[in-house]
Amino acid sequence: MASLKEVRGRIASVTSTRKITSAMKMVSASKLRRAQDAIANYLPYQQKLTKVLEDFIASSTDDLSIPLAQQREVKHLAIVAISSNGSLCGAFNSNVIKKSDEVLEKYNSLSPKDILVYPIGKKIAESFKKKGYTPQGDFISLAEKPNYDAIGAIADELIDLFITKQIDCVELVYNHFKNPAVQQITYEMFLPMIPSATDSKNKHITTDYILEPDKNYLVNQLVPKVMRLRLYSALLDSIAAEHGARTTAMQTATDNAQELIQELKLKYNKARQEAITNEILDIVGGAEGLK
Amino acid sequence: MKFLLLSPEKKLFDGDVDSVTIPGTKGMFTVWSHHASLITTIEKGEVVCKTADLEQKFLVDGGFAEVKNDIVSVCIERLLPVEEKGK
Repeated sequence: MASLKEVRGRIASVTSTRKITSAMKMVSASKLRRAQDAIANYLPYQQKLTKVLEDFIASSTDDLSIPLAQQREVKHLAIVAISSNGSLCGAFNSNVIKKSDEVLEKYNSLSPKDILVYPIGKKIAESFKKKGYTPQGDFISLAEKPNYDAIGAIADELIDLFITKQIDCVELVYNHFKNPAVQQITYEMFLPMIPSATDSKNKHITTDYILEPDKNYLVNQLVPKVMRLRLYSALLDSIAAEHGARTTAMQTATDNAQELIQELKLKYNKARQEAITNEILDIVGGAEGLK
Repeated sequence: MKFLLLSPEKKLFDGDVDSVTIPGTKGMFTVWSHHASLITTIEKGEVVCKTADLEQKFLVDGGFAEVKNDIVSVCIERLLPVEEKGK
C-alpha cells in the first residue's frame, strides 16, 4: 500500500496535468472556431468561382483546351502534404505521414530525385527529411497561419512546373475536417486537373454570357485561380481538422486525468482511514494494557 | 442592383448600389442595373461602386467579374491597401 504522502503527491501532479490539458483544450477549441470562420469566409468566393467555371464549361459547346488538364505518363512527381506544427493531436500527423508513405510506395518505380516534396507543417517536413527527400521550401509558418498569397505562390509554382513539363502529376495529402471529432485522411490528385464532370441535370438553363476578352483567355485565367483556391481550401480544411483533433485529444486526456484523480482520492481516503483505525487500535490497546 | 465583392479571405462588400465601375481586361466599364449577363477578367485597377450619396473605391490586383440577373459579383484574390471610403 502506497504511503499517504506518496498518494498525495500523485494527486497533486495529476491535478496539475488536468489543468494543463483542459487549458489546451480551451485554446484549441477557440482556434477551431477561428479556423471554421476562415472556411466560412472563403466559401462565398469558392462557390462563385466554381459556379462561374461550371456555367462556363456547360455553356461552351466546343472542347476547351485546358493545359492543366493534360494527362501524361508520370515520370516526375510532386507531393504536397499538409500536417501540423505541434503534436498532441492524436493520430493527426501520423495519418498524414502514413498516407504520404503509401503515395511514395505507389510511385516507387521513380527515383527519389524525380519526386519533389512540398511539406506544409513541421511534422511532415521532418518525416520527409528523415526519408532523404529535400523539401522544396520552408512552409512551416503556413500550417499555423493560412495565407492566401503564400499558398497561391506554391500553387503557381506547381502550375508552372506542370506546364513546362518538369512534373507530370501532383498529389495532395491532407486531413479533411468532417466534424470536430472526426478527421478523414484525404488523398487526391491536384494536377492534372480533372474537369468537374458537369452533370446533365446541372445544365438546365445556361445563361448566354458575353465573354470578355475571349473564351480561351478566360479559361486560362480562371483555371489557375481554381487551383490556387483548391490548395488554399485544403490548407484551411487541414487546419480546422488539426484543431478539432487536438480538442478531442485534450478532452480525452482531461477525462482520463479526472478518472485517475478519483481513483487516487479513493485510495488516499482508504489509506487515511486505515491509519486512523490503526492509531485508535494502538491507543485502545495501550489503555487496556494499563488496566 | 446588388454588388458583391469577394476575396478568398473574406467578403468585402455586399449591398445594393446604383452602379459599379470595373477595370475589365478590355477596358474600364460601368455596370448599371439591367446589364446583360457577362463574364470578364479584371486587370489591376479600381473598382468603384456608387450609391446615391456614397462612393466607395477598392484597389484590386486582378480577378474576374460576373454580371447576372442584376447581381454583380466581383471576385478578386487580393485587395491592395489603398481604400477610400465615403466622399
